[in-house]
Order: sequence, then C-alpha cells, then structure tokens
Amino acid sequence: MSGTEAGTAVSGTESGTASGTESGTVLGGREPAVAAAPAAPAVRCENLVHVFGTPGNEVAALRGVDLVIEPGEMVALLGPSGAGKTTLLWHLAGLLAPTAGMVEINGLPLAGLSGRALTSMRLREVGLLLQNPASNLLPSRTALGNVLFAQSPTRRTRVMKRKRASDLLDRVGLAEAARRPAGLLSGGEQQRLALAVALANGPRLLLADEPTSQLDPASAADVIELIQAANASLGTTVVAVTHDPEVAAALGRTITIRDGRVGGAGHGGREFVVIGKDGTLTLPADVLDELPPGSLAEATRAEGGGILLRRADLGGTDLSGTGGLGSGGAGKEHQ
Amino acid sequence: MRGGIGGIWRALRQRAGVSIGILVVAVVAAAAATTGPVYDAAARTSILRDALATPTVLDRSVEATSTGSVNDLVGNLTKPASGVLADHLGGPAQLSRLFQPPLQDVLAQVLTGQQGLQVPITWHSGQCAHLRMTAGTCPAAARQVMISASFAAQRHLKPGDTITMRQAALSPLTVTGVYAPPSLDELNSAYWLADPCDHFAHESYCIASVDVNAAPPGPDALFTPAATFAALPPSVQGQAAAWWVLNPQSAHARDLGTLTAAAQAFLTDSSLAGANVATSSTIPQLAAQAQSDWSALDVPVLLVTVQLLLLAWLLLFLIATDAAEARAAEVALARLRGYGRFRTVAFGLSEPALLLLFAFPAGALAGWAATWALSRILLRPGTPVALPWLAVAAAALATLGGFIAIGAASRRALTRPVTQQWKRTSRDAARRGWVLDAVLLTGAAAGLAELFTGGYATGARSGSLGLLVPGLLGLAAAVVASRLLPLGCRLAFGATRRGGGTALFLAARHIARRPGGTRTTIVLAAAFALATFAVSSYAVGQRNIGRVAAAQVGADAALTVQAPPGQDLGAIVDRIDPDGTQAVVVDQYPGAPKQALLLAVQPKRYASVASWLPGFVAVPPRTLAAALSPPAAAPVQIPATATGLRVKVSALTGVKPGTALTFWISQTASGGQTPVAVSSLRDGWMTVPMSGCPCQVTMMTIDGPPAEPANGRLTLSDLQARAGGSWVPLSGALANPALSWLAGPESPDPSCAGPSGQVTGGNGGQHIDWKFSAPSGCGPALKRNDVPSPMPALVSAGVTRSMDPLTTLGLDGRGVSVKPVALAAAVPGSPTRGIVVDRTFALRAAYLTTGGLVTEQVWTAPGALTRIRSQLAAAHVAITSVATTGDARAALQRQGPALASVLFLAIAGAAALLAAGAAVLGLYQAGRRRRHEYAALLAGRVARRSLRASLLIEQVVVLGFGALTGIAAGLAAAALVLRYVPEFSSGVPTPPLLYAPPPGPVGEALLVVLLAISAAATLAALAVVRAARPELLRQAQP
Repeated sequence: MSGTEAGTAVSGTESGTASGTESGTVLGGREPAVAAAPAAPAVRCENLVHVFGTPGNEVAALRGVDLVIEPGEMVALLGPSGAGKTTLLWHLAGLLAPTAGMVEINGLPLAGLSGRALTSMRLREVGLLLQNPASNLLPSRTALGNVLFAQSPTRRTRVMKRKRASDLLDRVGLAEAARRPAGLLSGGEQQRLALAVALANGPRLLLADEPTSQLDPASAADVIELIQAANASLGTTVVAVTHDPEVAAALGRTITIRDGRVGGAGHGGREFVVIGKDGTLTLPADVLDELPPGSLAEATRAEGGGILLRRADLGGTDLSGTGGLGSGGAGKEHQ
Repeated sequence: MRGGIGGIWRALRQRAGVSIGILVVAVVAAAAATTGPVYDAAARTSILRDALATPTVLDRSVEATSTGSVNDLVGNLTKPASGVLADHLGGPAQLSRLFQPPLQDVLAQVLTGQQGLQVPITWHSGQCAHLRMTAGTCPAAARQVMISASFAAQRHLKPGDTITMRQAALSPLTVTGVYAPPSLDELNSAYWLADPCDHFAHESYCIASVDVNAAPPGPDALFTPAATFAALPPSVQGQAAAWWVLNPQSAHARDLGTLTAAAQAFLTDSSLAGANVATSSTIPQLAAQAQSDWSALDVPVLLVTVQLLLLAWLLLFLIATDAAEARAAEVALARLRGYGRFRTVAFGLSEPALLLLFAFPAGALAGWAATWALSRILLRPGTPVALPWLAVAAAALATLGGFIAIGAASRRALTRPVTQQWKRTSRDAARRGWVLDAVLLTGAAAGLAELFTGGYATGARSGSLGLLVPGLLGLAAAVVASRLLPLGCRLAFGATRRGGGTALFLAARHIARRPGGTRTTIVLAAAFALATFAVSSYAVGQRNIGRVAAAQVGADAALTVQAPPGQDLGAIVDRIDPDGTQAVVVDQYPGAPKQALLLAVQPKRYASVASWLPGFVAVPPRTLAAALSPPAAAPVQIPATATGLRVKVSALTGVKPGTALTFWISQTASGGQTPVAVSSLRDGWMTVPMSGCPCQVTMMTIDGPPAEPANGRLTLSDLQARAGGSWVPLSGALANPALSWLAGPESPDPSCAGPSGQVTGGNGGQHIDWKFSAPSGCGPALKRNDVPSPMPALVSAGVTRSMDPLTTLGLDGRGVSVKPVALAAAVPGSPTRGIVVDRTFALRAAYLTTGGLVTEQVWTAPGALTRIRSQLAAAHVAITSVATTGDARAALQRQGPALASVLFLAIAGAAALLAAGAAVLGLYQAGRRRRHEYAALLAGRVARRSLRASLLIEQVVVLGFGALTGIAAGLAAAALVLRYVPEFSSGVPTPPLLYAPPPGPVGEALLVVLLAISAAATLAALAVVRAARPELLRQAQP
C-alpha cells in the first residue's frame, strides 16, 4: 500500500492492492489512498540533458530541460519533429538514463534506481500509451488477455484482475470485444484498448506518445475523451506528446520543446516563451519571419515593465558573423 | 502464465512459419538423439543374433559328454549339466528362453549273437519325430529297435523280425520299423549334432573316401527307446551326450554378458568335471566376435549422433534467432508493462519452450519410429526395436540443449533496451571475433593430423574418431566462408552501382548487410558438408561391401556340394554346363603357408564365372586361365573293364635278380596310389592283374635291393591293358616319351638327389628307352609327366609378393610346389590368402584324392543358380549349403560400421534438408521484413520483376554459396578421411578397397537436394514479392 503514496521510495514489485476497492466508478478505478493529493510534483525535471550517439558522433536530444508538472495536470508536449519530445517522454517513463540532470516522478528521483526498481516504478506509477495502436498490444491475445497481461506482475488475485480488466474494457467501450484477439480490432478500438492496458494498474502518471496520430477523427476524439475521464475521475496526471492541436487544446497546458529545450508554454489558451536558466529564449515559429535565425535583435526594457525585442538595423553591417542579417526593414518588438 | 496456453497457441499460429521451423528442428534434434541409442541397441541385438546364427548348429551349442555304464548315463549327464547352466544364466526361465530343450544321445557298441557283428545301438531324444520311417513303426518299448534301410537289406530283416544279441539283457531285439537315414541337408539341422558317422557309418557321406584296402564300412545304428538302456547291466559301457542349442532369435543385446559368463562358467565348472562330464562350446568365441562388432558400432553411432545433434542445435539457434527478433517488440512491451527480468524471460521463451516441450516426446517417438523403419530394412529380420531409457534421456538432453540454444538465440532480444527496440538501432549482429574460427580450424587440423599419424595402427577406435573430422572440417570451412560472402558482395557494390540493373544492386546490398546471412552460410555449409560426407561414405561403403562380398564368395553363388561316390564333379559340371560360362568346380584345401587356401579350379570356367572386379588382378582372366593350364602329358588311362596290365621289357641291363617292376595306379573312385608289382624284372612281358578301375598309371619303379645304387637301362614297349578278353594298347602311353615321362628317384627326399637317368623314345613313339640311375635307398622311377612342376598358380599378394616358387598343401594334404604366374591383389573366393591352380593338375598331383579337408564347391554365374542347382541335384550331387554374394553383402551390411554408415546417411540427409529448409525460411522471413521497402520501391516505379530477380539472386547466392561450400568441404573430408574410417569388422579379409566417392550416386543425391532448394527459394521469392504492395505504405511497420 505504501507504494501508492506519492514521494515514497519504490521498493516492491507489486502494485495496487488486494483490498478489492478497485471497483470504483471512475475509469480504471484506483485505490482511495491514491486519490489523495500527493505533496510532490508528479513530474520534475532539472537541467535534463540527454546525448545520443557514440563519442565523436554525439547528438544532443535534450539540452537542459527544466520542467515541473503538478499532480492531476494534463500536459501536451508540443514541438517540431526531432525536438526531443519523445526522448523526454522516455525519460519520464524511466526508460533512459540522463546524461546530466535529474528526473523525479511523484517525488521519486529516478537517478540511481536499479533496473528492478525502475521496472517496479513503471509497473505502479506509470502507464504508457504508444503512437502505433498495434505496438501497445499483443495481437494474438484477446482484449481481455491484454489487460490481464498488463496486470500479470501484480499480486492481485485472479478474480480481482479479471474484474478490473472487465471494468476497464467496459469503460473504454470494449466490453463486447473482450474475447476478440487484439490484432483483429480496428485502429480506434486498439488504441482504446491500449489506454485500458495503460491504466490497468492504476498509474498516477499516464504518458502518451502521439496517441491519436494514426486514428480517424472520431476515434481520436474518443481516446481524448477517455484520457480526460481518467484524469477527472482519478486525478491521473497526463503527459502527452502530440502534434494535434485538438489534443493540445483538450489537455489544457502545453509545453513546447524546441531544440532540446523547453521553448514555450501555454496556459488557458495563452502562449508564452520560456526563458532558460542561462537567459536563452526560443522564439515560437510564427514570429521567425520577423526575427529569422541569424538576425540581430535588440532587447530593451519597455515602458511600464517588460522587455521589448526589436530587430536591429545596422545599415548593412554584419555583426552576427553569420551573414544572416536581413536587408533592413523596421524591427518588431515581442513582449 | 494466466490464460497463457491459449495465447501462446494463437501466437504460435500467428508466427506459423517460424513456429513450425522450430518445432520441426526440435523434433529432429530429439529424434536424432533418440535414434542413436535406439539404433545402437537394436543393431547390437541384430549383430549378436547374426553372430549366434552360425551355419553349423553345433557352433552355437553347449555340449556335455560323458562315458561309462550306459544304463543311467544320459540322466546322470543331462540333469546336473542343465542345473549348472541354468544357475549361471540366472534360473531355469532364462535357460528355457535362450536355449532349446536339450538334445540327448546315448550310444553303445553291441555284438549280434551269431555273427558277432559289432552294431551301434542308440537312443536319440526325439528320434521318432526326426527319422523317416520306410516300414513299420518307431520303437516304443525296451528291446525294440528300428533299423536302417541298408541294414535291413544286408541282413534281410523286416519289421517283426528279431535280432539275437550277445548281451542277454538285450536279446532278442525286435525290429519294429525301418528308417531312412537323414540326408546331408537334414544332418545340418539343429537336431543331428552328434558325429553322423557314429550313427550312419554305412551312408555315402561317411564313406566318400575309402582306401581300397580298408575294411568295409560298419552298419548304421539301431535306434531304440531309452528304456532299453535302463535295462542293461552296468557292465555295458557307452557314451552319452547332451546339447543345449542356443536360439539366436531369443537373444537380446543385454544377454551377451550373461551368456558369455554362463558358457565360460559351464566350461570350467568343477562339479561337472568331478562327475567326469566333458564340456565344450564355442559360444564364448561367438560372443567375443559380437562384442568386437559392437565396439565397431558404438563409437561411430555416438559420434554421428553427437555431430548431428550439434548441427540440430545450431539450426535451432538459427531459427530461434529469427523467432526472437519477431517477438522482440512483444518482449519490449512486457518490460514496459513492468515485467521483471525473470518474468520477461519466461514470457519471451514461452512460445519456443512450449514447442520444445511438445518436441521432446514427439521427437523421441519419431526417432523410435524412424529407427524401427530403418531396422526393418537393415537389421536381421525379427530384431526388436525398443525405446530404452538411455534414448529417452538422450532425447531429454537434446531438448535441454534446445532450450539452451533458444536461450542463447533470444538473449539479445530479451536484454535489448526498450528504447533501442523502438528505435531499431541494434538489429545488427555483434561483430564475430576470430576465436571460433581459430578453434575450429585448429580442431580440424588436429583431427586430420591424428588421423594421418595414427590411422589403422591405433585400431578401430581411432579410425572411428575420424568421423569427427568431417564435422570439424565442415564447420571450419563454414565459418571461414561465412566471412567471404558479405565481403565479396561489398566488393561488388561499385560494379552494381555502375551497371547491372536494380536486381543486382539490391541483391548485393541485401546479402552484404543481412545479419542472418552469416548464420545461414554456417549452418548450410556445415550441414551440407556432413551430408556430402555421409553420402560419399555410404556410396563408398556400399561399393566396397559389394567388392568384399564378391571376393569372399568368389562368384554370384557358391554351392558346397558332395559328388556321388566314384564320380568326378568336374565331369558332372562339364555335362550340365557345356558352354563353360555358367558354373565352375572349385575344390578348396586350407593350408600353409600363411593360412593359404588352395583353390583348385577349372581355369577357363573360373575365368568366366568368378567375380573379377576392377583392381583384383592386372592380367585378364582369360590370359590367366591359359597360364594356369600349360600343356602337359595326358594321364595313362586304364579302362574300367581292365583286368590286367602289361608292358614289354627288352634290352634290360643293370638289375639284379629279384628286382621288381612296380606299376603305381590311381583309382578314379578312391584316389591315392596303389602299387602293383611284378616280382621279377626281366626281358619279356611284365603282367599284373588289375581291378577297381578306371585308373591311371602314375609311375613305374624299379625296386631292387635297397642297399645298392641302381644303374642300368631298359626298353619299354607295348603298354597294354586287358579288357574284353584281349590286350589293347593304352592310347598315347608311350608317345613323345621325353616329354611325357620323367626319369628320377621314386622319393622326393633331398638325399635322393643326383643322377636321375634319362628317357628317350624311338620307333615312332612305340617304345621308351629308359636309362635309370639312383643312389642306394632311392628306387629309380619313371613318372608320368602329367603335372607341371612347379604347378602354375595365381597367388594372392597376401600370400607372397615374390614370383619365386613356393610350397603349399595340395588337395591330399601333401606338399606341392607352385609357381606364381601372376600376383593378385584379390583372388575371388579367398581375397588375401588364395592360391589358384588348375584342378586337373591338382587332382593328378594328389593322385585323385579329394577327401579329408577338401571342400568341393560349384560356383555359378549371375542368374544361373537355380538351373545349376536343380541340375546338380538331378545328377545326385548333394548340396550342403549355398552362399551367395547377395547374402554375403547383406551380412556385411549388418556389421557395425555399415550400420553406422547408414545411420549417418539417414540423419545427415535429414539434417541437410532441414538446414536448407531453415535457410529458405530465414531468407523468406528476411524478405517479408523488407516488404515495406519493396512496397516503397514499387511505389517508386521499380519493376516488380526487378524485385523478384533481386530476391531470387539473393536466395540463390546465399543458399548456393552455403551449399557449395559444404559440398566442397564434404568432398574434401571424404577424400582425406574415408580411408581411415573402418568399413568392416576386424578380421574380415578384404580385397583392395576403393575410396574415391563414386560420382554417380553422390552427384545424383546432391543434385536432387540442390534442385529442391532452388525450387523452394524460387517459391519463397515469388511469395515475398507478391505480398509487397504499395498499399502497405499506408500501414505502420510492425
């Protein structure tokens, strides 16, 4: 039971409880203890750096990500392809070891955890939903078998597992398809089933990698709705990598990763740029036509507070060293 | 794993190709492991039964004999001896299982009352069932007898008559029946084990060679019930014997030790010795022969099984690697879902493990069934094929090895980080070091070195170890070759980029970069090396078995016969085969030097009928026939009706009074030399009486005082025989005297060497002038020069390597000088110990004697056996046994090495086919994984036929390279190793054996396999390309 409390050390391999309280009315009903708000953030990254490749052939996927996600938040990770979103997601799932920096999940620092402890953490704390519906599932097993498969490492009784699996399938609208092999389900059904599988052990953190990218709009809407339901009923923290604006809008908070850094954030429909620890600033793409890469800009304090960022016009003198200065024109200020 | 079996079953069905591949290979591995022990056990029983099923029943019997008072002799012998034998065998049940009920015989010599004729009287257990009655009934009470037909005729007796005997307790004996003595064939049955001449002395098979001066043969035995002996007083002495005949079909391999120990213990049992019971048996020698054959079987079977088991494991590793890659995504998912290490391993291995668990019993049963089927063809009919615990353990071990192979194959997929799996960054196999290559090359070189330096000198065990060399050579060639193919394809990158079309461009890159290519080459090359070696070994073995069988028997068939008394077998065969191409008489006499066997043959027939195989002799057989039969004087024949013989002597000088002239006569019927003398040699007619002809005059001697030397001369003319009341000249007797007669001493003793006289002729060949001279004690003799001396002979190189004359034993057992006209690498009929001479000369040299140790045979040409056999029987020639080359070949094929060779062939062939199947399957799987790539190429307007050609080229190159590498390695191994691998049990005389694999059978077998592979590869390529459609690009890659 202790494993379900936020911020406690991870030590066991089992997950969930044998109390029989999973039959809640919420999606993927979770133990009442979990419903209590944890004190620690659901996700905290500090200066997270990850470098792929071999010496002499390195590629920095993450360049110092600082991020805090509170329990119960729903966050969309946005950004161009290759920006590092998926790498960040894998770090949150404990699948990668940082080159530098740290990651905490529900107050548990992942650094230094053994492989066994990380496995246990994933079992109890994290649900993962992958982009390709088929890759979330064992195609030869039934829908029910897939949910049971996810629960297999837990110490729940067989009856409890089956009841929980049936409830989950019911919630995702697959009760009728429980006995059908997963490989024979449609793409939308497979992704709904994948969500049920991800929630099988009542995770407090649901990680989704482009969960709707291969679905038709109706199926995508179903999946978003189910994710929202899980968040609403369980307080499950949701972090989803997506390119889909509708998903981003549905999740509320957005974090934009650019070039391995947190480049922007959105709250309540407003978009913000994020200033890095070293003062770096990554501009959103829609203003780059005004301040194209290589151009010089002048940052000045604006009257009434704030900073005014204006493209500098030095009369043709190249001060950047890149030869990228524009041909002039009036600079624009971005606040 | 909950709900696991159903899920696993569905998963196995989903990956049916790989699943079936794993299952088949695992079944074959278990079957291969099972086959070895099952086959070994069955073959041991077959070998033991073959060894015990001796042509002569007595050889597989235990015999106990005793002499003494006959009234209770047989009972006192049989009961304790049975008890002793049963004790040593482990009880009466074992005794009755392994041996037939004992045959008992008691025999005494008794005298008839009036004439005092000595007659054998006997009781032989079961006599009423085995003697054919021609009149009356079998005696049932004491003092009743049955008599032989010849005895009845001689004594004018019939059923109901009585015979008065000297012993009061016997007299009178009542004749109840007349029996027909058993034929020679019947005497060879398991019933008549006693010396037949003790019981049937009057029959022809006991009087085949009788000296004209010897006493007439005795009567056949009187057969009476045992009760007759019980009534006799103790003073009547006789002999009793009991035989326990082993039943070969009851013997199992496990009985050998007990049987040997029991027979040996029986032979040395002190209680029997104390009771004056003599024991004998050749069962220990037969058992030792079987044991020797076993040792020639065990090691090859073990090595064959182990090699093929290793190959099966390697194959399993190959297929399981593909299977593990196919499941890698699911394994990654399990780890993502929080599965721990052990649970992940269990999940990852569940499918192949289930297949292996099924394969264990299935493979064991399949191995047993395959061995059973093989045994029906190869082993002695009726040999049981059991499933011993060792076979089950071996199958379990093979399955365990399969688990290890699958674990090793799956290790990478089970331990690969989840993110790498998703990114597919670790699909390339780790670089292989050179350690394995070095170990295999060193092992192969060491094996070859040991073989070359040890060879036969260290015995069969070392030779058997040579079977490891093909496997090592094959693997060494495979691992080296596996590096060459990708290298070669990389070198072709530039050329295929500049030209050659899309197909070659793609094929070269796929071959060079496909991670499974190396494994495919290794497995294919190793499997084909073993298969090629096995096919070569089998083909060479079969050819050599044919050569040995032909050389042992001598012709297509050899009938051991006995001619009717007084008739020459050669004349009979001349009559029934006037063309001289279907049958030949071969008289055999074993003797010195070097255990040589004299084969007295009809040379022209021998040249036509005997099995002359390449390499046996350098000279054409017809040339040899002429060389064996140089011109010689014809014998001086005296007709059958002759009653006298005379010669006219004149111009006699140098003899003292009382000197005799002796004619030495050989009778055609009985052989030998009989002297007939005229006591006083003088001028005039010298006449002697003559009887028992036809005869031949072999020599005339002058027998003067032995203490004085003889020197003189005489003229002989008009040598005549009296027949039909008148004297008739003996044809050609005095013609060409200088060549037809030889003057010399009578005795061949070296002390008689010296001046030997001279023979000249005159008057147109009508007389002989004989100038004689001989030292004292050595009578001068005039010998008929009808036998060349030394006699020309074809001699086995195993007897001598010199062309100098040598002395061997003639048909009468006396020394005879022979001169090789050619040395044969192998002589048909006695490959390494044969001395072949002209039968006519041999008979003359032996003075027509063909008794004693001489074995008379008639050899027949292919297809002539039935006709010759029936015509011989019609000519009253007794046929005692028939040996055919086919039977000899079958017997050799049931020897240990041949049995191992067949096992090797069967399993290696199956392994090669499996390897080829697995390789095709692997290439097909690799092609399927590329179907998205092909779909993209199709979408990019690359022609489908180019893709098809690309895949076909890839398959043909990979499969062909592996197969050809293996075939080359196998042929090299065959060339290097085969001569060191024992093909026959020790002690089998062999002609020169040929070791070059016959191109026909080997080429055909390999061609069939290559065609099958090509067909499978083509079908696989077509299937893969057909499945590649541009629509696939809309689906995510699995």
